[in-house]
Amino acid sequence: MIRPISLRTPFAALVLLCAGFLLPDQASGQPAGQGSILGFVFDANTGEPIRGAQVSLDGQTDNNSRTDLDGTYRFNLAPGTYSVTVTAEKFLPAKVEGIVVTAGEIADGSVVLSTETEVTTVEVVATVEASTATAEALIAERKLAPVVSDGISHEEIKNSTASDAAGAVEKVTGVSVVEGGYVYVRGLGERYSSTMLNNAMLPTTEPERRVVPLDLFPASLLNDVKVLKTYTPDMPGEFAGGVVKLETVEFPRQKIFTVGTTIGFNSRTTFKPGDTYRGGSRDFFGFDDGTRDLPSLVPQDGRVFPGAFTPQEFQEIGRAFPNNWQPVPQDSVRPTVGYSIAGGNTWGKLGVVGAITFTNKLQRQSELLRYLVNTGGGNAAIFTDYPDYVADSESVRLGGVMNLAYSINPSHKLIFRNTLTRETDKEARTFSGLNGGIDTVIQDQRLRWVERSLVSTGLEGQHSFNRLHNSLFTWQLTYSTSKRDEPDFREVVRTLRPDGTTPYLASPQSGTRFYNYLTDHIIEPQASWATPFYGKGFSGKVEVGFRGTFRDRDFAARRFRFVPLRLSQLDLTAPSDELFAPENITPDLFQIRENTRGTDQYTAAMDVYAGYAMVDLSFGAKWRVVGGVRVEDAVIDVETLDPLIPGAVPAVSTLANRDPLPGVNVIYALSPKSNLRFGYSETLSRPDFRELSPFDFVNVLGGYSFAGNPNLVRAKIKNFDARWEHFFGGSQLVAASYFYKDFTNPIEVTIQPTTGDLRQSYINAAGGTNQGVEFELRRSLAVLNPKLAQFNVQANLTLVDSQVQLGEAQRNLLTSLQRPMMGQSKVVYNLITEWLKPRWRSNARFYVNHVSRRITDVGALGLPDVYQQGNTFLDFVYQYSFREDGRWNMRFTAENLTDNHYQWIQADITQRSFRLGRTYSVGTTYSF
Amino acid sequence: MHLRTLAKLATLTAALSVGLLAADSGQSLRFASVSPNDAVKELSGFEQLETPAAMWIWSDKYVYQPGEQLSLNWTIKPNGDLIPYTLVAYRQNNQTGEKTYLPNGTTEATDIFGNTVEQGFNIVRLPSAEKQTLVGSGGMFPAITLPSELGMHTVVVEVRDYTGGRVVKAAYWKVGVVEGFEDITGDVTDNRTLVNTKAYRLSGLMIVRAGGVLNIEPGTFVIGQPGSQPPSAIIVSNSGRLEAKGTRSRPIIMTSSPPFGQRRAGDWGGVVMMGQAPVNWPSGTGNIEGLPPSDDTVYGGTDPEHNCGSMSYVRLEFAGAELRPNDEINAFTWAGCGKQTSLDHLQAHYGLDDSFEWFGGNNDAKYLLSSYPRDDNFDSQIGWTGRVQFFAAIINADNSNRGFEWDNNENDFGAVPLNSPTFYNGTLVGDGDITDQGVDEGTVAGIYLRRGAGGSINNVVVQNWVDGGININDDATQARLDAGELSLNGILMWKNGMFSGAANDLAGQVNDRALTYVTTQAPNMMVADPMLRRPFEFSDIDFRPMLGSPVFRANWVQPPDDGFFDQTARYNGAFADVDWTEEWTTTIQEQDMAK
Repeated sequence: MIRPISLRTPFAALVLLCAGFLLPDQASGQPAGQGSILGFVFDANTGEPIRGAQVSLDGQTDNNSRTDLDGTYRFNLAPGTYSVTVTAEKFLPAKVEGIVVTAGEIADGSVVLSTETEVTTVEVVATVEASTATAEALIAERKLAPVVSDGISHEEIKNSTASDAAGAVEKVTGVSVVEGGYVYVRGLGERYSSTMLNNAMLPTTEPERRVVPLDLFPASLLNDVKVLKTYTPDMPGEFAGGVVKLETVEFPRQKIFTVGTTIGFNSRTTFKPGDTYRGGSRDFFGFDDGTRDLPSLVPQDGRVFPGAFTPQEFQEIGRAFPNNWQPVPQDSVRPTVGYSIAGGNTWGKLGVVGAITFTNKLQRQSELLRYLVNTGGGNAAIFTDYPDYVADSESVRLGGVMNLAYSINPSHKLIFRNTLTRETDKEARTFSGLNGGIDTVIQDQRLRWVERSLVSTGLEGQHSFNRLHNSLFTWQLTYSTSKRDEPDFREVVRTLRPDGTTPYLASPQSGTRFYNYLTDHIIEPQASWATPFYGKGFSGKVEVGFRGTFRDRDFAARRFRFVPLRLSQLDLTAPSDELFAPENITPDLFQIRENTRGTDQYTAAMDVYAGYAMVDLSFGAKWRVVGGVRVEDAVIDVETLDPLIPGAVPAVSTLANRDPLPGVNVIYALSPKSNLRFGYSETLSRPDFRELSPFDFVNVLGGYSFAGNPNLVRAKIKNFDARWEHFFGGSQLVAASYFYKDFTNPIEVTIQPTTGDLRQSYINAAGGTNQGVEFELRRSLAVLNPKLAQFNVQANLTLVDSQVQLGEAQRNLLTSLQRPMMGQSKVVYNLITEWLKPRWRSNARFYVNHVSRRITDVGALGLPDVYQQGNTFLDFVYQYSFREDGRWNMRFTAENLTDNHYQWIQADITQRSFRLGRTYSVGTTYSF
Repeated sequence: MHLRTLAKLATLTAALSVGLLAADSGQSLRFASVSPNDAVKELSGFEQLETPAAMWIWSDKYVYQPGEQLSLNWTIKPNGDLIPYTLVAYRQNNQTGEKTYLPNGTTEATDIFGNTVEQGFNIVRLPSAEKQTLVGSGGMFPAITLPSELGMHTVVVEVRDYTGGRVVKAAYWKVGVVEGFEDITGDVTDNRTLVNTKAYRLSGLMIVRAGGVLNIEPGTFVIGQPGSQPPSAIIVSNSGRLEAKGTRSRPIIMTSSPPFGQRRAGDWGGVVMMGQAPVNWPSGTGNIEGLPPSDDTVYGGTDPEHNCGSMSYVRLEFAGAELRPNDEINAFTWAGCGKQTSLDHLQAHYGLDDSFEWFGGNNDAKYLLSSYPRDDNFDSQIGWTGRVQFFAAIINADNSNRGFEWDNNENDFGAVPLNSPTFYNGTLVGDGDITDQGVDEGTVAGIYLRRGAGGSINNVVVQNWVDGGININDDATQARLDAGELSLNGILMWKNGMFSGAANDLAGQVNDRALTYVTTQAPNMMVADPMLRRPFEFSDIDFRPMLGSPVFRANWVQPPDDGFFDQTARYNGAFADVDWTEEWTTTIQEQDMAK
């Protein structure tokens, strides 16, 4: 059933809550005229926070504090210089000196503790200066991470050109982003990467996809984006490329309230002619006002077909659809605009943070689009040729975060996180050219509206138990819902006759109205228990945990078409809004017909129960082992049921497996500043819902129809990793990695001939391998010349080689039986040059991002594979603070400076190409 | 001959007495009576063989139960025929052959005025009537009460010559008298028979699986129900069989359920037969669309003799629903059917997609009639190598794309085995209105060959196609002509390509790629009026040639002596004097039935 998305209420609540930050605040943590020391205390061997450590302020024995669940402590103090001493059971005491506290500011007092065993993997000194403590803590945090995570911090996101999570993650080593939102980690497609928000799995908004596109998440809502590339048993077992972990904004340490606005200009769109179409009154905000709802005359529980309705009723139903088919040209497209608000505070035990962001972006995409055919003997020729495939879109993105944390006491904390993000695309698309399927020059007009949204609500608790060696119990219950609502997709096809007229063509997709609706839910309870242990010459922790991932999906679509009955009685050359005018919707002229299929309605469910046990053990001065096993019990059910037929029997496809998934990581400290890491793990990849269903589905967004394969089995993957890393200090490092992955039964695309056409399907390929190297460098150019200290360079390079071997059964269908995995680029690199000039209150960054060519479609029946050509992107951002206190900033970004040529090649023929234009935007933020 | 008759009639000054057979409701038919003497005088020396008049009859539905009343509607257009005739109407039980004459329900022949032969039939000139009630309330005669004789019955109205002895023209309306309806769907895995004493409501897919045989008795009605998904269709898997053998008097009629006038192309699916004969997919097999793939949904293989079953005298109406969005199925689909498959006397009427389409295989067929398809009339690809003789296509202003649309394989123009069927004796007539275009394709040509299609096309009348007579669409297909893998021989064209104002000569009738071929290699190309009787009288088409038609010219192609082709058909077109579409087909346009 098609239901409207009703996100308006929670969103309104968010607005109200955020407005609360404007109110004066008496309960803030920091009394007037005072400053604070905030410190993080953690274990030198494991990087774990030390909970319940005693922290005393020198010379003030009465002013003691204990670290909380996160291992942090805080003192509110009058301005001055202080030192702190930290002691904890089984750890050697440490002292931080020279912490300067100024009014209204927070000084860092983080410290690393070593155990009494006196063997540690990072340098620990009993007494350090505060100025170096922070930097050391940063190094230690990365060096001590049990697994390598490449990430983009909040600062980096803020300073980059990225407007969404996809843009942010693109800068991470070994990551490329395909089609605006799907992450390829180490050359492995979206199938092999999953996305987690605040440590919970995310449902998807896309009916044909497994993962949610990352462009749905506005960058300003994110605290950081991490990509985990090595597996540990506490992670979900569907892992091969990596896990993208998104964290929404952190709780502020002091009251913040920031508003911002941006305006953007695109060189191929702004102030140029473009199309839109008549919509509803709330289109600007990305909400349909009901204009596109399925008319109420259409029955919810039955098809509109002859016999069920009289010709007169058909006429009434047909006329109930708005007569609105044509794009509306505009002389000049307005610039893109954006607004944001963020605020947060801590009132005693309660911390609150919220943010709202809104952008309305306009983009014209003018493509050349072709399809080729094998004219015999593998000779490719252009079959369908659309030289002017133009899509004008208005994308409205709205996001909100509202997180609350309540510390019952330093050992017990509850956190309530809410994230809402939605994106709406309003699109008018026109194209014309030779359609090879019917050997006819056609003109096509489509009007589209897609609302995608994701709401995630999670409650989590963290409890540490001093009496049980500071064991930590965490639990989390998350409920996430994705929705995708595409109401009233309209399309009219015309032909271009030799005399220049463009009469309506009664092809099956002409005069169609299409509605589809998807919801994908995940309920995910999880819990873990970790107990640290210490012994002679070793220390560590044991951890056991549970995660249940209960996912279900509902998909429903209704397809309608206005069928012309007496073609000869119609003026087919009339514009669409005249052709489909009510007076032409009669029992003799146009009649509405429903073509909804049985398979347009399905439900699917996947239940995964997972339990794991792992140990994190440091021994000797140099060795650390993190390893264990996870057992996953998964049941996938896809149920296709035609609700428009009373008493229909559902068709069910099921896949059930229980898999043990071991993982071990060994870290060897070459020196206090460098590590060697080795990892081995066994993971898996399960078929997606539709891939298992035997029915043939039609891709909602066009293209091949595809049939699933109920005989698919899950793919198993063996992962080997090795890494050397060296930390220079601060965030500076150099690292080199090698990875090798061996796939058994990887799921790959194949082609099935049907009656005349081709249909896409899935098979378990014989096997595949994926290996590569990664290099990463983050360095201040001060090492070259102290005068260059204001420049930092970050560079990363990934070289990947992957091979899939398809079985002999595919020999005559697929052109390449051995080829790189789909979507894999051999070379990906990023080069970021950063310029910081505090004296001018300025900083700037210059980004170079390159991905080499990759297969986007596998070639079938004698046609070679389709490759998207390599791309190099240049982006630039400059930021300036109008005030010394940094409250009022402006920011200029220039994206896609090369106006990159997106190009797809098949058999030396350009199959698709477009340019998106350069985008310049100026924004300003003000913090109160 | 009728022209001469008319000329003579124009000089006659015979006294006409006007008789009026009144009806209850003010509806009336005017009959101009002629005395036998005058009739003899008028017609002395002439034998009345044909008439330009058009006539069709229809009732409100096809299927009745015993005791139900049957009303009959009538349209007759004299088209200037002033000749005196007699009119006879009867209901025939096609099981027994027994005729019951109107108006008195006698088994002895009477004319419609109740006169026996002994009394002398009333001689009248043909009245003009449009959508009038002939039988039933408000009509000339009270409704026919159907007897409890189960099976197919036919209501016939005959135009006989003035002696009442010879039938000049007849209109037929087939109905079934049944004991009840049965709903059918699902799999057939054994021997199953649909009988003509029942009518069948088909909803959803009926799939004849491995080992299954679906028999359909002559005179059986199968009524596809719109609105089901997947659509109502009969699917014969590659190891099942369909045995649907009707007869001329008892055809098997598969239609859709809405009331007449409201039936539309695509109300239900159609018939799909799959076999294991070779196809030109490189993988050797393909999958039928719209079904979950299984061993039963695969077509193609290595058995050229595969038997998909047989169909004779089968009429499919309003078929062609979408098996998958944006892709409709054909009325008749054959995929990989082999030589043992037997097909003759088949009509596809108002299909949403093609009327007849072959995907590989080599099955033969004879006597195929395509009327008003929304897509092409005769479509083939994927390596079909079968034979067809006697085929005709009628399109109208609201329906149809191309006459022939042949490919080799739309994904690989060079695929083997080459799609190369052999066709003899066809009549492909466009609707003749130059403003009409294809429903969903441009380039609406009579013979449209593309994507490396091969084959042999012989003795075909191609007239009044909007965008040309013969179109060789691409280089790959032209290469087939040059290599002798594609041939056209004996094509009679007339008034094709009128949309672009093409000349009515060879250069105007074919596209440039075809022109070299037709002018140098194929001697039997001719541009002349085929002189068909009533090619554009849609609801009562007559494609038979008039005397003097060039279809009877000598030197058209003699069909080969291979045991399949009728070698006597040395004329051009689907018809000589005998109309093989008579009685078992219908070409009534839906709007001509709607009241």
